[in-house]
Amino acid sequence: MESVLDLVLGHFNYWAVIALLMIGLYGIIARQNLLKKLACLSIFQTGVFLLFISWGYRHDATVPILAEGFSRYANPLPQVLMLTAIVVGVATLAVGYALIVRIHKAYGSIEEDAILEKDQQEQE
Amino acid sequence: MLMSLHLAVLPILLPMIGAPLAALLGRSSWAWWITLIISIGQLLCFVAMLPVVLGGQPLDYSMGGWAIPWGIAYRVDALSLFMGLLIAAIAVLTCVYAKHSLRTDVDHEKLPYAYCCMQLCVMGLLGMVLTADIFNLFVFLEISSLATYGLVSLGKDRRALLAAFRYLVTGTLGATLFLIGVGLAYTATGTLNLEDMAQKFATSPHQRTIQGAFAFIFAGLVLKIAIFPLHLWLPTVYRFAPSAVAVLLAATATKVALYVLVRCQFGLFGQAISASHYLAELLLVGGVLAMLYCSYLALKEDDFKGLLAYSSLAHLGYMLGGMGLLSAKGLSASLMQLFAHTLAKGGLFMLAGIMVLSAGTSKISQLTGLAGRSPLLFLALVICGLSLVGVPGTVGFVGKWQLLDAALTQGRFGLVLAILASSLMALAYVWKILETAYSNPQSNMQLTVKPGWLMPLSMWSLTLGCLYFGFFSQWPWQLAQHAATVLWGSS
Amino acid sequence: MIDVVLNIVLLLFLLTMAVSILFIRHLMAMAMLFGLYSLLTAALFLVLDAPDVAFTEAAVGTGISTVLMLATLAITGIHKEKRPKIHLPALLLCTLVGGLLVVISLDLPPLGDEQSPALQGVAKHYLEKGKEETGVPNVVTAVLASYRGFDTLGEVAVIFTGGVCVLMLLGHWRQKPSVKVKNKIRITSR
Repeated sequence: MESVLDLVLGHFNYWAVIALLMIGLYGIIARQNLLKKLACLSIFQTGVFLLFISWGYRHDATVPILAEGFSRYANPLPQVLMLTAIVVGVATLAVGYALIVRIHKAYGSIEEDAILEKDQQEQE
Repeated sequence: MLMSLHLAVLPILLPMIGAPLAALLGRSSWAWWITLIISIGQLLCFVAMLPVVLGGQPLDYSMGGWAIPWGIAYRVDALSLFMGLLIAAIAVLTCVYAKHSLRTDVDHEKLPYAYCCMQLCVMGLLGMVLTADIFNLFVFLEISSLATYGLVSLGKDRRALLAAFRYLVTGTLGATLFLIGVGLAYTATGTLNLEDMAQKFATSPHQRTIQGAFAFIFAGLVLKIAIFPLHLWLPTVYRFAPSAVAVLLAATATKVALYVLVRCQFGLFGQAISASHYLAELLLVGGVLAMLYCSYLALKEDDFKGLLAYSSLAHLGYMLGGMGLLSAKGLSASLMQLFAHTLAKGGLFMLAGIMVLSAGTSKISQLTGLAGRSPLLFLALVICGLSLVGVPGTVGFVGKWQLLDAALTQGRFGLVLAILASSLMALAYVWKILETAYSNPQSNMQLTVKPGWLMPLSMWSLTLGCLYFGFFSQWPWQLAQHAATVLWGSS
Repeated sequence: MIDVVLNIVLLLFLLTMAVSILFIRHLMAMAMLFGLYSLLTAALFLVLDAPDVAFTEAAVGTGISTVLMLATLAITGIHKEKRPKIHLPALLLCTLVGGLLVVISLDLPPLGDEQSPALQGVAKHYLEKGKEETGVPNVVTAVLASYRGFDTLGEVAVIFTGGVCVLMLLGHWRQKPSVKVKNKIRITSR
């Protein structure tokens, strides 16, 4: 019983993150609304950020800022990587939003199937 | 002497100065000159590194002077040099080509930004090739991808926008999957330097994590390379992007993603993946399917650029097949194939751009009478097309021959058959274009716009390259072999 | 112990938020939920001893991202999503990949594990020598700006690239893009 609880407590973060990743992935593939797609892409990315930060966590430790009286610190490296990744993610999102604005200007819709339909009609 | 010390990082630093300059000066002709000078500078850097690296000693560079596992390091070995030379050369030619091509595709005010993005894209690609740090690789992957999304969206047709958006979603998904793989590999080893990581894989207690890491890196890169069946984003991107951008993408972007896959699979995970033989089968089957199915799609396609895109996907199949042979010979044949395909496909996309510009259409069925109107253009089409098929006397033949040779020596007759079948199909779709272009010389096709002399110049450089390296294939082949043995030595 | 409980509660909130973002059809409400989602993530980062990342997520994820999303909504003026259909292949794919991930996760070192190779590797050096070698007590800053400073340069390049791309897409150009596209269509259809 004890070991099962340990397993669940030790891995709950991973499983929650996996659930987040899958919600994001499903949304990216299944949703037709472009804005929704981007939001789901962002959920997917955030899941990865959480995964990294979870890897850097350490029991009974403190934030990685060296100070008197503390000797155990969380792992700083995943945090550094995620600082970079968050910014990269937002830059990508910004370009995505800009594309949505332009697509809306050109097609008057941001539903993927409607846009494809308009292209089809135009070709005929 | 000071410069030679920094050669490895100079190709990255040059565009960091050049790109903002090109965007800020705001004059498109200045932006073009800056881009040209920067890309020639990058090419010269790689040429200057050639003697050092071929001497057998990889060139190492530690950022900020931090010793290897603590800081970020760059490493130029024969494989990076091979890719770097190819990308830098293509970048110079694309820049020459873009002067006239982009001006007709893109609003005048946007041109400086377009040149800026081109520099950033090439910078990202070169960074991926040069770096020896897996997270740094991710950062540069994102730089080149972001620049590409912007460039693709510049296409004249409004469908370019949706193509760019889909590319953005798929590309980011791929990059994020790659990032998960990086994270898994990091938790298993505690380091990010490629070489250090490869060494620590052997002793890590988390073998399943390492396999998972490889699975994610593989999946992410497959999306990025557009390997069949995850290729759906690619044809629309190539079709609707401005011609010069299509050239850059077709000749370099997916190739660099393939390079990363080669680097990871053979250099990084070589020893650690116990199931690598299953993986090899997977690569072989995927390669064969891509060769056959995408060649079939190319046969059906009526749009010139669309056809070239499907043909690119089929040719990725050859490279995968060569990798799946799991031998130094197979890998070097793959690299040679990559080289040959870059030349031929770059030339063909440039030709497609000239055609779209002067004939106003990219439909193959409307190319009737091209041979009569513009015999030179037709000749270039013949040469590049034959190189794509793999006719002796062209560089395509060298690549295919080596691949066939490797497959035969290892008794992979399925692959041999697939290569032959796919080459026949390539002959069929190249023939389809040539026949239409040759037929009906009295057609009313008009070559209204003159493409200037810069566009044909860069196209002919690649076309003649196809011929030249068909007869003198010594040095690319040696470099490819050298590159393959670098990886094989380490695994 | 309070950490662990807080962690689990926040994660459950986060999951609820993600599911509602997926299912809500009112896009303005989705943008609000999205902001909340980012804020919860930032809180989680804080619980997991990553204050620098929490700051960044709160500023960039909750702030800039949400504002950008709202701006997009305001410009396009679209507020409702069409009724979505259930996408079976996607559902299948997600179950498959998720299952695979759970299997891999069992092999991962548990949360907060002392023996995890990640903590023994490069990070150990940063924690022990970081202050001595760089003079910065905040190890995250030391690594970000010094050991892995080149990544940060790359990050700046990413922001620059993103900025140029957005400018290229949305800048006030004399020619209206929509007009141009229409002209093009007329030519090709002739």
